[in-house]
Amino acid sequence: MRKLDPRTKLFLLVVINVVMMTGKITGIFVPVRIVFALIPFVLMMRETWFRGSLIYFFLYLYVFLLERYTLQDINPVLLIVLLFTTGLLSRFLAGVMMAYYLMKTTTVSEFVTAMERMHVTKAIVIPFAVMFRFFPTLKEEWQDVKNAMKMRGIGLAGRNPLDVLEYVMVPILMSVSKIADELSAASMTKCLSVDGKRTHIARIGFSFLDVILGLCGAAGLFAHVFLGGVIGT
Amino acid sequence: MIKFSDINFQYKNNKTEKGNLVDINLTIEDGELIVLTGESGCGKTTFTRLINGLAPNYYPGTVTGELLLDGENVIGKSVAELGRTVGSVFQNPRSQFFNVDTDSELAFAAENIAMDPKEIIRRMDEITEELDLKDLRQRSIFELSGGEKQRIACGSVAVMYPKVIVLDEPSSNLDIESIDKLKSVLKKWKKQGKTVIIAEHRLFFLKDLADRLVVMKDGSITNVYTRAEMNELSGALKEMGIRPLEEPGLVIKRSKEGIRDYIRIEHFKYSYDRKTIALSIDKMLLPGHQVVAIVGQNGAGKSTFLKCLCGIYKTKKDKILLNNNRWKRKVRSKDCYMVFQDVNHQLFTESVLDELIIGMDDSLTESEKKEKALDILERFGLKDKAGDHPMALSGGQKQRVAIASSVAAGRDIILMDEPTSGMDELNMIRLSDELKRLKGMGKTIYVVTHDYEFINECCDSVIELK
Repeated sequence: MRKLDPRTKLFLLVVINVVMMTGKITGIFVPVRIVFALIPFVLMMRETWFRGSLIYFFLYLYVFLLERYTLQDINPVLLIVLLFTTGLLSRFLAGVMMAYYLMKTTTVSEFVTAMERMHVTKAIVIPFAVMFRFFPTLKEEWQDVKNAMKMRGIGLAGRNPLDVLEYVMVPILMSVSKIADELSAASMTKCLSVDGKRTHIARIGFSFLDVILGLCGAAGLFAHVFLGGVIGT
Repeated sequence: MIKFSDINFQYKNNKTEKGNLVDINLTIEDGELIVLTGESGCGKTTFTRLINGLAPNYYPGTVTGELLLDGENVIGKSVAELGRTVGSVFQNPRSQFFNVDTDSELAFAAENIAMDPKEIIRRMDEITEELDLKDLRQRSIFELSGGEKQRIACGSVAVMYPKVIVLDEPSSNLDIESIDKLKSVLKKWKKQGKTVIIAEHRLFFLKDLADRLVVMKDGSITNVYTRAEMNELSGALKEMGIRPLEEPGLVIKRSKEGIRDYIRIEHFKYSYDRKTIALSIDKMLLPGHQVVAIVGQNGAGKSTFLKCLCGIYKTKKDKILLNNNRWKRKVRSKDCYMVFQDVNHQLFTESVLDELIIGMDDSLTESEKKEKALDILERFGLKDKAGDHPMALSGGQKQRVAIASSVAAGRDIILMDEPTSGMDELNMIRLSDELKRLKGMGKTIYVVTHDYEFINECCDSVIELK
């Protein structure tokens, strides 16, 4: 299976977020939204993440229907709560899934290669690349701290939330800053520097699927900008 | 050839009178394998940092004297420049990879010096063959064990064909089998004529590889032994606070009292996802009121076992008996206290005193808690640290705070995960004494460890997980 080019993924991430968050939800934008919501689903299915993609599919279907066909005979308070959550989910969910897909399927070196092909300066690329690498690290650290709190019987209930925040943040920040420090040292010994040319072994490039998805994204963005998709126009 | 002439070094944040390296004079010939050892803080890591340029470039400080690598002055060169000839492997497998996948990491350094991609791929394949990394290619680094990570670290250095390789405590998180693999990598490098410099606490795996053993103390070189001299050392090293050169075998002592059954496990299973089983125990007996070592290879499920036992991980349908009474997960999590491998994760509060108070029985009044906490700190030799922030302490002290807080919380069963990783002889002995004292207080201690010397020092029985 040919991998999607990181540039396509990045473009789709941006477009999906812009259109879903700031776009209208009526008229020709109904099909646009459906297509954009389906893109992450299809991509995830392609990676055979069946469980995740199906959960996403049905959750999105649910909020989509609820938003379109709002129930009539319903307690107004409940209605507000429902509209609030569905409105939020229908705007953010697709973007979040796309971001998740991007993170999961792109290696740091593919990402760096793609950015450099776009002539982005290393001073911007490197921090982003490190961020990429830090998400899984943060997850590991958070798990460990959570386990430690559980083990020591320090629950969330009945405590000052600021204290709890401190208990969580202090150990995480301490170990993350230590890791960051050691990581920079290690990277320097591997000749990483801000100036100087790099080569890449990661092979990236556009395929047929990239073109199709790219066009989908571009068409959606076009409609959004020029056919009055932005809310308030 | 690497030549240290009258090298003195002091870190910028070291405000004391004493330098971190003092009057270092040493000539390392090409193709030599040098082992640096000594207590924690003796300067052996700093020594390696001067060679790869991290000191004074990344860790700032002042240097005097001359350090030559093949006749060229090293001091003043950037780390990236030195990286072309000097490869570095570090202690912490969690923090030495820039990438998230193994292949990218192998290629990373070569990419950074703009090597031709075809050549990089050729070298990667060559190194894969040479260092036996086939099963580690195209993997996520986050799913590798400590030993596997260290092999990738070695591979990613080897791709650069470095002339000199420095390693800073590479074995501290490894089990015996992974250490063997590391040893065979070192052997290959030595055969290829590379100059290898290793800072280490554990020496047994280096005994027949080292050309010279350099002992450091307080920043100075106190002794240099050739291989022939090393073999006549055994007793003298212990006095210097250095771990033995002999591979420690397990000495099984028969305990006089005979083993009392304490915990009986009849069914215990756990898996992280629905596919792979991380732990599966049908029958097991754990003795009580002892220090019990739990050994096994990396990946045998030792840490998982501890986390399941103390209730961090939810095990379904487990059947565990404590003194013949059903011991449920909820109760287990109140009876057990686990000291993690990385203690940083379990110290939350602003002061050592608070750290003890936070876990105490709520029926006590504030002043009673404080009094009791100070009492415990006194016993652990930490009373003068009561007001300090836990994160400001040294690694060994943090660990003692964690153990002290388990005592404060009144837990009877203490679980420890790899407590001696990266510890020198002195701290290891201190911890052993601590555990023996806890046993004297009637506590039960289960320790997951790879450290046979530590087991011989303080454990009463040994259980192997497979």
